[in-house]
Amino acid sequence: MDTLDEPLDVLKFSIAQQIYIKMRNNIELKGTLVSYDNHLNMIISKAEETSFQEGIKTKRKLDALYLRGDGIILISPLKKGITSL
Amino acid sequence: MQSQFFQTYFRGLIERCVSVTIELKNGLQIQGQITYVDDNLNFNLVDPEVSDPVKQPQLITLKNSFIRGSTVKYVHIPQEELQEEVLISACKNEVKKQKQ
Repeated sequence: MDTLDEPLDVLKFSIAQQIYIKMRNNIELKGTLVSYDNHLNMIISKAEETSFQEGIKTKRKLDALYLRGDGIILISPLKKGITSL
Repeated sequence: MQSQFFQTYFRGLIERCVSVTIELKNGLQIQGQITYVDDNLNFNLVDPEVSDPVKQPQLITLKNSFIRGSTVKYVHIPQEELQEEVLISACKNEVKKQKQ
């Protein structure tokens, strides 16, 4: 049952866990995955957004948010210890 | 996972009259109450308030707005209105259903 059969299973195993998301326009998000769908639309709770614009790094603490999937580049579960970027 | 999942969720927010902030891809933030959401996750907002009226003075007088789903980056939802546990179990159920 708990096998990684398809790429989206990474998200399946990350429900209620911390994940890291890289998005277009140099935006990175960290937060708890609450739910997702096939378009990679997601609801993230206790999100923290880091954006790099013109060499300046800005951090924003956000509440819960629905995130539209079309801006996503990569997703990684934080559980296995991805180093902070 | 059906794409209707989030539509159903937003319908719930509409019923509970939750006020949200929609952040668009161009950085514009609009706060208001959702009155309608469709398959493409287009939104209708009533009494939209723009976060930065100095930059967007033409939007101050809006009474009603329709936001195309593809321009949305985030929808900020108040943490206390999220219903995190309900969503997590609903999402797990959906995934299971799809696997079968």
